[in-house]
Amino acid sequence: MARHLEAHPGDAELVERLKTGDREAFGALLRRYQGKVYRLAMNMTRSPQDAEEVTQDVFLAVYRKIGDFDGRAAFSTWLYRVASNAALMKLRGRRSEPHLSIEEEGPAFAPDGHFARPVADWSELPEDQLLSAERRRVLEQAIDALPPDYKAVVVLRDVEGLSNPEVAEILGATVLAVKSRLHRARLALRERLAAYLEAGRARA
Amino acid sequence: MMSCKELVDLMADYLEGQLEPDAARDLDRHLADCPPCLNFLKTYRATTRLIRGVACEEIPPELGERLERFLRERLGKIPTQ
Repeated sequence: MARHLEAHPGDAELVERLKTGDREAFGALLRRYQGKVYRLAMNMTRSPQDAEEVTQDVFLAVYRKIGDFDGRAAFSTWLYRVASNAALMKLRGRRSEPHLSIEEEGPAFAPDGHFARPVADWSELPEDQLLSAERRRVLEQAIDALPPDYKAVVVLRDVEGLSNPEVAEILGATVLAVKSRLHRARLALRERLAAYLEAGRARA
Repeated sequence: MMSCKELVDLMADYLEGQLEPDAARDLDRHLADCPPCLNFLKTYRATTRLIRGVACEEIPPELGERLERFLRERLGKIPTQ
């Protein structure tokens, strides 16, 4: 048992060892988290090159700035914060990307609060039909077009499956702001999918 | 009676079971009587599932190797304490 624990030291132990300059501990954290960091960066930037650069930057920062990590949050939360910030910097550095005007996306309502247009249920379609190559592209493009702050919330919540408080901690935002961005982003994405799927039905 | 617009505003909290019991009951009553809202709820939930479906899960097999090489080059210059 003791040997097993020694072979798989926890994050906290590895972090303490890294703080004393232990390169083996750094290597262990690198192997444990490189996939997670890459995937997060890839889902935010959708560019393998950017994702790899972000992953490099993140682990350089881990090595150089581990002294800034005070252990109040979990190491993985701190790492997610470093990674999200690095990915956000990449996204903000892209000049020409048009963003969805998130306030204008979403369902339209009549003055009395009812839906202005009929709402079809396409949720029962089998998954492979729902996510055909073309529909997948529609959704990917819509996610790409989200403003960076919204995209970060969608990736951390709906892809990584983190909780609202965790995402708030990672992004340095309030839980209320996280919830609001997530909801607006989902509404915008649902609207894009609905427009596409309903147009397809009209054509059929 | 809650309007469709109000229902949509509360949808995320409702799906996560975070609404106050009174508000959740109002919402259930509205849903039972409003097919468009029920359709909206189902497709909102499907959207979150599909977002996960288009996420990249693949990691290049050589990533680890390239990463270690990159870090060795950079961190070689940093004295360990």
